[in-house]
Amino acid sequence: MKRVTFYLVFLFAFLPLYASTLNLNTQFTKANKLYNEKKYKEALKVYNSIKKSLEKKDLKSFKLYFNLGCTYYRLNDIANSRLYFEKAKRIHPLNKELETNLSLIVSKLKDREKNIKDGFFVAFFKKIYLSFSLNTLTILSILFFFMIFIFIAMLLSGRFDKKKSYYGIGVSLLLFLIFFSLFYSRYQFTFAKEGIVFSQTLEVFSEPNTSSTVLFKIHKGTKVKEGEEINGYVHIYLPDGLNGWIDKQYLKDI
Amino acid sequence: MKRAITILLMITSLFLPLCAKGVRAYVSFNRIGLNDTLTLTIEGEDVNGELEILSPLKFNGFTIVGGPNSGTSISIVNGSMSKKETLSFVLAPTKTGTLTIPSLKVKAGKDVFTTEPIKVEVVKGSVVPHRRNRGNAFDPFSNFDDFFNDDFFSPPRPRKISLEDIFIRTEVSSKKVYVGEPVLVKFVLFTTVPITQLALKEVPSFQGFLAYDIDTNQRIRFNTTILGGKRYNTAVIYKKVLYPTKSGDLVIPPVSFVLNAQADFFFGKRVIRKSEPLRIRVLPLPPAPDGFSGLVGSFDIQASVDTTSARVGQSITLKVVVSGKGDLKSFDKILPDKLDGFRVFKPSSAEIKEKDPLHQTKVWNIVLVPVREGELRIPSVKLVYFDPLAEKYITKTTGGITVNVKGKVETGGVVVGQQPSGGTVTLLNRDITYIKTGRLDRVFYLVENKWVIIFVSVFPFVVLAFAFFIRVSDEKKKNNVEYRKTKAYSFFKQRLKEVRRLGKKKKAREFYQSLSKAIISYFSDKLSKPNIELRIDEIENILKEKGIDENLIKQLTDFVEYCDFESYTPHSSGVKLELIDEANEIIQKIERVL
Repeated sequence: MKRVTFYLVFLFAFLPLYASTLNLNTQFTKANKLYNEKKYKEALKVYNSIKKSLEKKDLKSFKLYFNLGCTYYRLNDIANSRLYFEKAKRIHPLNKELETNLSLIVSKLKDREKNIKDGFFVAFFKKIYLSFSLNTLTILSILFFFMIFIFIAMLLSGRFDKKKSYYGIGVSLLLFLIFFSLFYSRYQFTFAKEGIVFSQTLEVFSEPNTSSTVLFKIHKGTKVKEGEEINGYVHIYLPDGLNGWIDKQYLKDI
Repeated sequence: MKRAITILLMITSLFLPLCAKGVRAYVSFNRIGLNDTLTLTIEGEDVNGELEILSPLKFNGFTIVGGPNSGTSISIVNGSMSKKETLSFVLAPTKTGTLTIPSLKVKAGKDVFTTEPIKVEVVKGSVVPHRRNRGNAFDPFSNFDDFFNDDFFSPPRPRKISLEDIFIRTEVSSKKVYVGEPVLVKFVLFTTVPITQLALKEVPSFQGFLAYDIDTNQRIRFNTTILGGKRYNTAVIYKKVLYPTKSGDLVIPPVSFVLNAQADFFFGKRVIRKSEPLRIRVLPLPPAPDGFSGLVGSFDIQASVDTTSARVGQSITLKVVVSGKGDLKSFDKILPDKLDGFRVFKPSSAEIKEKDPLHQTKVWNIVLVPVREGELRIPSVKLVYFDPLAEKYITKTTGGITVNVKGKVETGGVVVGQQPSGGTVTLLNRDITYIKTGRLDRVFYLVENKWVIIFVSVFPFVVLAFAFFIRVSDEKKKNNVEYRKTKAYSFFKQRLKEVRRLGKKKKAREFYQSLSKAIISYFSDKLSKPNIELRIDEIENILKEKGIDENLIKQLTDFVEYCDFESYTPHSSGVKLELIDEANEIIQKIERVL
């Protein structure tokens, strides 16, 4: 009897969660249908509502971001389109279709972006850590991290062969270091502080105020790296090293 | 004999007005026979520009056999240079009597000169002796003949080279042609002196013609020709094929050559000669019928395929050969772009097999790929051209070819041989890809979850603490009587491992000591008695009290005594590892009953 009540409680606790999942899926299908009928504005509304309910639970969705990017593109909003494609890229960086769409958007921008090519080893390393999902690398790193302590504990307990414990510590330390470096790179990639410019033309100043020298101008849809923030101004960096301060309100974080 | 001619020439020249700068006319002989010829030379000394005869070229009683041949000679005597422009005609008399060559108006540059009339006496027969051929281009010793025979004691003198000695004639295959009909032009050198060098000085642009060089690298062959009583060495020195591109009277312009003539034994003389210009009449083509290919000449057309039975998708090569007399270079379109039942892959350019520019062959290799099954027909290929000999348009056709197409190519229709000229896909427009459908994916990052972070940071401490706890509790348990009682056998086994290690190290004494100690320790744990107090006879008594089999007790005591004995004997029989198993066996039996 006790067991039955436990299951019932468990079921009732998770039912709302399951129901909300079902609800989001139907909404997603509905939005896709609207997109298919070329009702982009309606589709956008539905996608955005899904996004809101996901964000409440700290969830992200590749498909949702991808479709949001497509919808904004159809509505001729290049900056928003890029924002969502970039968000999607952080989840699945090596997706081919995403690559095509992003290159199409970049080709339509006013600012031509400099592509800095990586050397062979950097490119190789990048390919490895991008082909794993962040969670996989997190789990693997944690696993080997734990392994190290388990082997140390085995050594400490005195019940096990010391030699085997030492081997275990060595191997798991090595694997931990490998996977942690991959995890860290992937983490940096996923949580990089970058933003998309949302102003038609934006002046970049040498100091965090409008009275300083205008260094250069950037245009809508450009991706910038963010640095320090002071008084609502943010220090931005372009891939070729150009940097300056812009008003934070014209920038949306990816 | 030669001297006589020279004297004669000198005498005639005495009668002519002598002038340093000007134009004069003279003849080679003043008395000739009806069968002889004479050379009329108009010579301009230090004049500007080429000579041009303004008067009509009609010499009463003479016909022009050769010329006008033009020439330029430059001579430097005692440092002063003089340039002579000459025009010469070879004339043959038509009647006897005293004939007069009238005075001629000659234009040289801007000046106009008038020459004196010349009287020539013509008698029956031949009076001019046939001059022996002086020199052969291939006989460098011919001058010696002169030296020994003619002027026996006199040294060879520089010989004057007149226009009569070297001239170039233009010969054409036909003087009346149609537009597009090939004309073979030959430039023929006539010479009486040996020629050591020959080069083209200036080739004009043949206006109104498409001109092609032929046989450029061929060796020049000399023949002997008798012209007007003189023996000449003749050779075709330059050939061209001309295709007139427009109708009307067209002039083949003169071509200049530079020759090095062997004037005497030691010195060559540089001579420039121009060929005579030649006028040819080009007739326009009559109104053309439909499908006229633009070709003029006479042609043949043939078509063949490499196979008459094929599969769908398999390539067939259609070979079309057009050959004949005429210009095929500019002719290209032979087949329609589309053929019913076939995909047509045309070669980028057809091959021209040119043996002779007058006789060309052009080969088209067209790849056809059948697209459906059945009896497909390659239509006949038609060629319409103008034949200038027949003076009409002629149509030639090949027979149609039927190809039997059955089944498909198994390997997916790969075109063998020529690659299709098209085929690469070109991007017309760029657009974003279609949206993602299906179930909504949800991604949450473990690193963002605080519970994961807490777990990861707490886990090591927990594990280490647990390990430490195990260690401490193990230490504690070692002193616990009950614990030792239950774990006695496993402790014993651990001790046996240590014994085995010693045995492998061949430490006999320690081996036997620790083996006996392991057994005693087992009983110490099991019976909860201190290790030091326990001896084998005590154990024996306790076991007897507990009612253990006598044989087993005996086996045990014998084993322990043996071990003790061995451990105290300095020269023991070595390590016996099998004793470990024996000890284990005995203790196992006791463990079961205790």
